[in-house]
Amino acid sequence: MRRALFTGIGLLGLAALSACNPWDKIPDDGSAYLEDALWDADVVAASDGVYARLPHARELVRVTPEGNFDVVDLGAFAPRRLLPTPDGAAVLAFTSAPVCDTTDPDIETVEDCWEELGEDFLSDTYALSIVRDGEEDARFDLSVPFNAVQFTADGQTAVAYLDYEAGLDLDIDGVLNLTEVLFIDVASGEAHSVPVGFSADRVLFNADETKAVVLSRSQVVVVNLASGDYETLVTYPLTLDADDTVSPLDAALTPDGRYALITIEGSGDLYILDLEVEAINLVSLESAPSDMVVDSESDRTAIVYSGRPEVDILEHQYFDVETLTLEEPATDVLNVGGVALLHNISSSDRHDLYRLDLTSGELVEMRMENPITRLELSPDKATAVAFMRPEKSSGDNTLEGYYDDNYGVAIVDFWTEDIISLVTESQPVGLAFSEGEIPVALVLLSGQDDLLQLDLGTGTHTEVRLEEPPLDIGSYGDDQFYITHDTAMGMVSFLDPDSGNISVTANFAARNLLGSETPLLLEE
Amino acid sequence: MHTLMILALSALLPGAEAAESQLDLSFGSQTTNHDGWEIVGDGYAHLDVGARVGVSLGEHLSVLGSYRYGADGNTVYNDEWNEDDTTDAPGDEFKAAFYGHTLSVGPKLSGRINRYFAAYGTAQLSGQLATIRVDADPILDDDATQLQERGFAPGVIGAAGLEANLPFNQRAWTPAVYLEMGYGHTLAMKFDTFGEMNFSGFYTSWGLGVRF
Repeated sequence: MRRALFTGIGLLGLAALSACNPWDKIPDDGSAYLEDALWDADVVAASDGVYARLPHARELVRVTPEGNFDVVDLGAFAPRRLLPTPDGAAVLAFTSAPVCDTTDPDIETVEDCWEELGEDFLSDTYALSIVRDGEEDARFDLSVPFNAVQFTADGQTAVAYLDYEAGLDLDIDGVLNLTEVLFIDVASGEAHSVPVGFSADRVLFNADETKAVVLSRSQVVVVNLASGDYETLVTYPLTLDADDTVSPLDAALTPDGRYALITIEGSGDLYILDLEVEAINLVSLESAPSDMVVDSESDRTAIVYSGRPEVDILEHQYFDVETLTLEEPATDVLNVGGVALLHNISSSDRHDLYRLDLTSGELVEMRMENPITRLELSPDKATAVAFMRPEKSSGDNTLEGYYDDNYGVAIVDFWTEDIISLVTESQPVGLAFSEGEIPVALVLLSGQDDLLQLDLGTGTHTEVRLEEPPLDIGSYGDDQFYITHDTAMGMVSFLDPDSGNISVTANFAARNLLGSETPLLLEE
Repeated sequence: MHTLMILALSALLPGAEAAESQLDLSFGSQTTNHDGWEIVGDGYAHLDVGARVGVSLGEHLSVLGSYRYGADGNTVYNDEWNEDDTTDAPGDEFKAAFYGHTLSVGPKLSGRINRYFAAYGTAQLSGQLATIRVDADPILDDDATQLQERGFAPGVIGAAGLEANLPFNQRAWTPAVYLEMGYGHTLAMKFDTFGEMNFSGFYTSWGLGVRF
C-alpha cells in the first residue's frame, strides 16, 4: 500500500515539473501597475557603453555590446537625467536622494521615515555625478535640482542650470533659489554658485572661453571664467520697465565672439550685446523670428519667420538686414557653411526647401513631395535626409495621391537639387549617418523590425533585421551605432554598419522588479 | 483564534485509536504583504495544489510530508503617463509570473474527538523553490525579452486543523477531509535580477484523501 502511495506522489511531482515550453502559457490572472517606468529609453552613449536610467529600480546601468550590463553605484542617489560630456568619455548624471529630518539611527529607509515620523520629514537632496568607465568619478552637491549643463569646448568648465523644457517635476522643500547657476571646474571638482537672475536657461561662451554669457529672464549676465572666481563682469538688462518680462528665445555669438545675438519670445526685437564695450543695440525685425543661425564662413546670420515668407540676412559689421522673399514661410534653418537650408516643419502643409547662399544672397527653391518633419545634414554636408509626413490627400488615384497618404524619407542633394523621395511603411523615427566607404543613412521606422540602410548616392537600400521594434538610433564609439527598442524590460542593439552585425543586450531594466525599500541618504 | 486553541488542545487529548497514516490531495494558500507579490501574483495569497502523505509513528504522532505547486501571473502595465495620455515608458506591458514548488515536512500531533472527527496540530519545516518568468513579447515563444530566474528559501509553518472521516468499520482505509489554518513564513527568496521576495502571514490548507 505504501509503495503505491509513494509511486503516486512521485508521478504527481513529475507531472507538475514537466512542461513542453514554459513560455507557451504564462499564467495571467490579473493586472498590475508600475508607478515608474522600468527604464528610460532616452539613453546616453559614452566610449565605454550606453548608459540608461532605471526609474523603477532607482539605478543607473551601463549596457555594453558584449551582452552585459553593470550597475553604477550611486549610493542612495537615483539618476534623474543623463547627459553626455563633450568628449564622449563620460556621462553626467543629475541625481536626487531622499533625506529624513531625524537623527534616529534606526530610520534608514524612506518607508521607516514615513511610518515613524510622517511625510513632512522627508525631502530630497540633489547632486551631479560624473560617471566614467562604469563608476562614479566625481559628485557635486546641488542646492537646486539642476537638470542641464553646458560645457566649454575644451570640456574644462561646465555650467549647470535648470531647463524647464525638460519637463521635470520640481519638489520644493523649503526654499528653492532659481536665480543661480553653478560653475564647475571639472578638473579640480570645485563648484561656484553665481547669481545670474531668474530662470537662467541658456549659456554661451566667447571664442577664447574667457567669458560665459548667461541668459535669464529680462537680463543677460557675463561671467569671467579667466580669473577662477567667476565674478560677474557686467549685467545687461533686456528691459527698463520692471512690469515687462523679456524671455530670450534663441541666442548665438557672432564668429568673432564679440557680439551676442538674442531673439525674444513673441517679439521682433533682436538684441545685440557688445561684450567688449558693454553696449546694447536693438534691431527691429518685421515680426518674431522662429529660428536663426550664425554662419562663420560668410560672417552673416540667417533669420526666418514662421508667419512670414521672408528670410533676413544680417551682416555682423553694421548689423544691416537684407530681406529676401520666399514663396512659403520657413520655420527652421540649417547651416551648411556659407549656405543655409531653409525649411518648414510646422503643421502647415508646406513643401518648399530653400538653399540660400548667405554671401551672394542667391536663393534656390526645391520642392518636396510631402511636408518635412525633420531635416538633417550628412556628416560631409554633401546631402541632407528629410523625414516627411502624410498630408491632406488630393483624393486622386495618382502617384501624387499615393505620396500624400504615406510617410516618406527623402535624400536631398541640395547642391544639384536632386531629390530622391521614398515612401515608407510607417513613420520614420530614428536617423543616423555612417561614414564608411559608402555613406549611408540608417533609418528606423515606427513599429517595424527592420533597420533601413539608405545609400545616400543612389537611394538604394538594404534592410537589417532587428530583434524588436526600435525607438531611436545613435552613434557609439568609432562608427558604431546603438538602437533602443520599444520593449518594457530594456533592450539595446549595437550595430556594426560595415558588417551588418547586430548584438543585443536585453532585460537590464528588470532589475529590482520586485521592489525594495528605498534607502535614505544618511550622514556619515 | 478561539477555535484554533480548542483544536490544538484537543489534539493533545488521548484518542480512542492510534494516529492513522494518510494520503491527501492538498490545496493551500499562503498570504504575503510583500510589494513584489503585486507584480507577479494575484490577490494577497499564493494558491497551490499538491499531495500530502502522513506516516503514523505512534498513538498520537505521525510525520507529514507534502509537495505543492502553484503558478500565478499578471499582465503588468506601466502607470507613467504623459500629457498626451500615452505612456512615457518603453513597451506597453509585459507578463510576469511566479511558479512555486513547496516541500514541507514535520510532525503532526493528533487526537480523536469522536469516531468522525480528529483535531491536530502540526509544525513543519518548508523549502520553497520558485521561478519568476517575465516576458515582454509573449506572442513569440523564443525571443530576447524573456527572462527567468530562480530563488529558494527555507521556512516554517505552524498550523492547527480538524479532519473528518467516515468510521473504518473493518475496512483498511476510509475517506477523509481536512482543514488547517495557521501561520507560514519563509526567508527571502533571492532572485538575481528581480530582487527579493518572501512569504509571511496567514496559512491555510485543505484537502481530501484517505486514512489507513
